[in-house]
Amino acid sequence: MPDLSTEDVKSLTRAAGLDVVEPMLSELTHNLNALREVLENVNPPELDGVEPLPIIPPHERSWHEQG
Amino acid sequence: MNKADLPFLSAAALGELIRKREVSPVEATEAYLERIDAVDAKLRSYITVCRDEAIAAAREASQAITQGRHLGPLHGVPFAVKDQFWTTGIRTTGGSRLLANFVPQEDATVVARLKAAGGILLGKLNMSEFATGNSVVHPYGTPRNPWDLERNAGTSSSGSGAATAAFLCATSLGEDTGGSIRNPANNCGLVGLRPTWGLVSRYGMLGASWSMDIGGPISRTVEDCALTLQVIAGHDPHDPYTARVALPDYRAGLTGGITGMKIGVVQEGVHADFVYPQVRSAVSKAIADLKDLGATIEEVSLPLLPYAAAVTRAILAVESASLHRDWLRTRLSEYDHNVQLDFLTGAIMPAQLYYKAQKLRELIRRQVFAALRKVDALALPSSSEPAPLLPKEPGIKSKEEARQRIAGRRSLTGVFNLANVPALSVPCGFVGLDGKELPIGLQLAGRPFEDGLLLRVAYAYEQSTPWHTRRPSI
Repeated sequence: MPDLSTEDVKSLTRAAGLDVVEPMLSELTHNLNALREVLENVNPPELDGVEPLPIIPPHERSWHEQG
Repeated sequence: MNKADLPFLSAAALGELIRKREVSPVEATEAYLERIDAVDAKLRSYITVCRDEAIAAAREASQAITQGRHLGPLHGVPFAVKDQFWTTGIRTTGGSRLLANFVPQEDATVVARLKAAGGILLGKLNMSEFATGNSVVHPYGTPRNPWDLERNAGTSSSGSGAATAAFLCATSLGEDTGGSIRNPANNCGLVGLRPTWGLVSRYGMLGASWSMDIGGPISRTVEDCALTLQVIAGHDPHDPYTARVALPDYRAGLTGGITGMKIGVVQEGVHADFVYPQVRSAVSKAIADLKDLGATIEEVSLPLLPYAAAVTRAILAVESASLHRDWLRTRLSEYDHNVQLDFLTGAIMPAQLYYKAQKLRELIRRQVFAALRKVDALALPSSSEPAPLLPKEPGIKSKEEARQRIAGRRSLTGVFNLANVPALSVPCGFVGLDGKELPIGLQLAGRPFEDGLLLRVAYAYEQSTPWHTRRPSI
C-alpha cells in the first residue's frame, strides 16, 4: 500500500475540522504512514476469525472462558 | 528516631510507628514536607504541594489516634498522587497548561479512599501531558530521575516514580495506559502495579484511553504496594466498570512462598533484539532466582507481542483524540508538540486501521490468556533498557523515526494493557551507565483479579534480593 502524501493527510485533517500546517503536517504524515505500514503488515492467519472487541470487562466472564 | 530519618522508612514501618504512637502523623508529614523543600527543586516531581492541607489532615489524624480511632496501616502515612486524579479544592492539571486552572470540587474515588484510610495527601505529582507518554515539554518543570538527573524518571507517571524513589512521599499513585506505572517503576527502582482493569475505580481520573486506563500504586516495597492497593481496590458505584469481587487481604497473602508455582518466561520478551544485554542478563538471573525459591519455570510464547506497541498506540491515539476533540480544533497550539502529533494522528486515523488494531488486540488477549492457562504468572523485562536520557527535541523527522516510536520497549508493557490483566514491575538489578548505577525491573503478569498472586511472587523475590535496599544519592 503506497504511503499517503502530505496533501492526502491535509485532506483528512480538513475532513476532521482541523487546521494543520507545516511542519506538523509532514510529521503527521510520517506518523500515520508508519502506523499504517506496521499494522497493514501484521496478518496472522487467525485474524479473520475474531471480532474487534475493544474490551471484555474481566468480571463479565471468567478469565478461562475467554479466548 | 530522628525526624529527618522518617521519610526513609517504608510506608508499612512508618504506619506501625504511628499506630504505636512512637511517631505522630504531624511529625511524619512535616518530615516529608521538609525533605520536599530540600530536594524537589532538583527533581520537579511535584506540580503542587498541599502544605497547609497536609498539616491540617495530619493534625486530624493525630487527634483520631489520641481518641482511639485508628483507621488502619496507612493512618497518618503521607502519600502523593499523579496530577491526573481529582482532588477537592486542589488544582488538577493533567500535566497540561490547558488545565492550569482546573480545581475539582470532589476527590477521585481512589484519593477519597486513601484519605478515608487515614492517609495524608502531600501533593500532586508531575506527569507527561494527559498521560500520553511522549511529551517533551513539561509546563510545570521537567521531572528528573533521582538515580541520574539527566535521565527520564519514566513515563507517564514520572513524578510518581521520582518522588517515591527520592523519599518525597511514603507511597504514591500512578496511572497505566500502556506501561505508565511499570515504566517509572523500572526507571526509578520501585514496585509498580498495574491492577486488573476493573479492580480499581477510575472515577475522577482524567482519561487517556478508556479501554486501557487504570490507576495503581507505585511504592518502594511490595508490602507498601499491597497496602496501597488494598485501600484503593474494590467496586465503586461511580464507576460501572469496577467489578463486584471479594478482595483478598493483599498483605496477608504476601507470605507463604512460591513453591510449586509455575512461571512462564515470555520468549518474545526476554529474547527480543531490542532488549539490552544487561537487562536480559539481569532478568534471566531473576528468573533463575524464582526457580531457586521453588517455582517451576517454563517457556511460553506470545507471538504477537512485538506488535503490541503499535496496536496500543493506534487505540490510544483514537481514544485520546476523541476525548480532546473540541480542544484539538480550538486550542491545538497549547498542547506539547508530541501530544499534538499523537492526538492528530488519532483524529484522522482511517476507520479500517483502528478496526484492525482492535482485532489484533483480541488476538493478543487470546495469546496472553492461553499462556496463563499453562502457568500461574508470566515473566519478562519491564523495559528493554534502564532509564534513557531525557529527550531534548520534540517531533519526528522521518517515517523510520516514527516507526521506532511504535516498536521496542512499549510492546513489553502494552501487551498486558491490551489484555487488561494485572502486571507489575519489581527491581531486579542495576546497570552501570555513564558512571551511574541505574535500576532495572522484572515484570510479572497474571490472570485477571489475581493481583495478589503477583504481589506474592514479587515479595518472595524482593525478600531474597538486596535491590530494594539501595537508595539514590540525591
